[in-house]
Amino acid sequence: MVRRLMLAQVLEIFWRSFLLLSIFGLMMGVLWTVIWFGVLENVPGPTMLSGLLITVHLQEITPILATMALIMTYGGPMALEVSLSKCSGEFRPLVLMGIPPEHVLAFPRIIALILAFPGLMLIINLASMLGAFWGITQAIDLPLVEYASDLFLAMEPYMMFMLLVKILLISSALGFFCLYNAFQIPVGAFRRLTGLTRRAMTEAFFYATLAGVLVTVFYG
Amino acid sequence: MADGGPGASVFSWRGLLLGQAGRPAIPLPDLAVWPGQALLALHPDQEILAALALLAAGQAEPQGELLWQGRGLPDECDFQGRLRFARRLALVGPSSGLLPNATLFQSMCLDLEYNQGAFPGQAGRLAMGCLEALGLTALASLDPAGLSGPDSYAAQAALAISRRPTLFVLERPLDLLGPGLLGRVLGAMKEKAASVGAVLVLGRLAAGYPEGQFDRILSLEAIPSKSWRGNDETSILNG
Repeated sequence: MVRRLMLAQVLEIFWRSFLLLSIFGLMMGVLWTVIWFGVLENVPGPTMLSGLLITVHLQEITPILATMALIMTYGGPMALEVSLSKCSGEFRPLVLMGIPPEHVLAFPRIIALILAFPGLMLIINLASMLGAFWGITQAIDLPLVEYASDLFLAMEPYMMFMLLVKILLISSALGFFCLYNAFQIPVGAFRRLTGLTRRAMTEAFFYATLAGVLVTVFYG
Repeated sequence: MADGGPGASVFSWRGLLLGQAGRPAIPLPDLAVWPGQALLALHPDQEILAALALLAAGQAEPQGELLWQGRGLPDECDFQGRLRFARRLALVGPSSGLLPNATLFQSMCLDLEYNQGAFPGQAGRLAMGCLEALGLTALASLDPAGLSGPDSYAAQAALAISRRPTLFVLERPLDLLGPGLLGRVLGAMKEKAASVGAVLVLGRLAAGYPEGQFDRILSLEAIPSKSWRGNDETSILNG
C-alpha cells in the first residue's frame, strides 16, 4: 500500500505539473533571448547566451520556478487533502491498528516528491532551452547542433553536483513543510483548513527557496 | 501491553465511574476477561454497549481501574506507547472503521507487512488465506466506503483476525452478522487468541449466539438503561 501510494503520487506530480512547467520553461527561455538581444546587448559580461542559461537560469531560476509550480499544482492541494483527512478522522483507523499515520501517508509523499523533482527540473529546463533556441533563431541563424554543443560546453561538473544537491534539499523541504503543517490540524477543526493550507504553501516555498539559496552560497 | 505478571487478566475494570456532562456518574459492575477466555457481556442499551466498547479498546479514561494484562493505558503523551498498545487490541463495531482509500485486502496486507513483519508476497497469501477461511473473499477488493453495514462489520472482523491482537472486542456482532459467519468469526478469534489472548463480546441478548462459543456470560443490567447518551470518547469524562 505504501509503495503503491508512492508510485501513484509520483505519477500524479508529473501529471499535474507537466503542462505548467513546460509553459514556464518556454516562456523563460524566450524571455532570456529577448533580454539577451535587447537589454543586455551592450552590457559586458557572458559572451554566450548559453553560458547565461546554464549558470543563472538552470542553477537559480528554474529551481525556484519549479518549486512555485509544484506548490501550486501539488503541494498545496496535497496539504489540503491530508489535513482534510485528518480533520475528518480518517487517520483514526490507522491509529487503531497501531500504525503511525505519518509512516503511511506522509513519508511516501515526501519520497515521491524527491523522486519526481529531478524529472520536473528536466522538463522545465528542456522547455527553457527550446524556448531560448526558438528566440535565438528569430534573431540570428544558429544550427541546433551548435546551440546544443554550446550548452553542453557551458556545463561544469560542479554545477551539476550543486544542482543535484539543490534538487534534493528543495524537494525534501517542500514535501516536509507541506505535510508537517497538514498534520498539525486537530480533528474536527474544519475552519482552520484554509489557514493551515496557506501556511503550508508559504512555509514550503520559503524553506525550499532558502535551501536553494544556501546551496548556492555554500558551493558558489 | 507488556505482561503484568503471572495470573494477570487480559482485560479488567474495577470501580469504574462512567462520567458524562450533565448526568450523574454511572458505577459499572466489575469485569475481568482471563487468558483463553471468551466472555459475553450483556446489556439491552446499545449506547451503553458502545461506551463499554470504547472503554475496552482504551479510547476513554474514566475514573477507576482499567487494566490490560495488568497494566494501565500508556500516558497520552506517549504516542509510541499508545501505538504499541493499539496493536494488541482489535475493536470491531459500528464506532470503529476500515481504512479509507484502501480495500480490505490492502488494509490486511498493510498490517501484516508493517506490524507483523511479513514480506509483500507472504502478506498477500496470508490475507487471502484468512479471507478464504471466513468465506469473505468477495469483500477483498471492494471500496470500503461502498460497503453495507453487515459487510463493513464482516470486513472489520476479518481485518481484526489477521492482526492477531491479544484482545478482541466485538460490539453487537449479532446485530450485523449472520449466525454462520458469526460462528466462523468467533471460532477464528478464539483460535488466534489461543491461551494468551481473549475475546470480549458486548451484546444485547444472549439468544442467537452459536452454542458453546462463550466460557462465561455476564449480565451488566445493573447499569441503568438510557442513563448514557453519545458513543464517542469525548463524551466519556472523568467521573
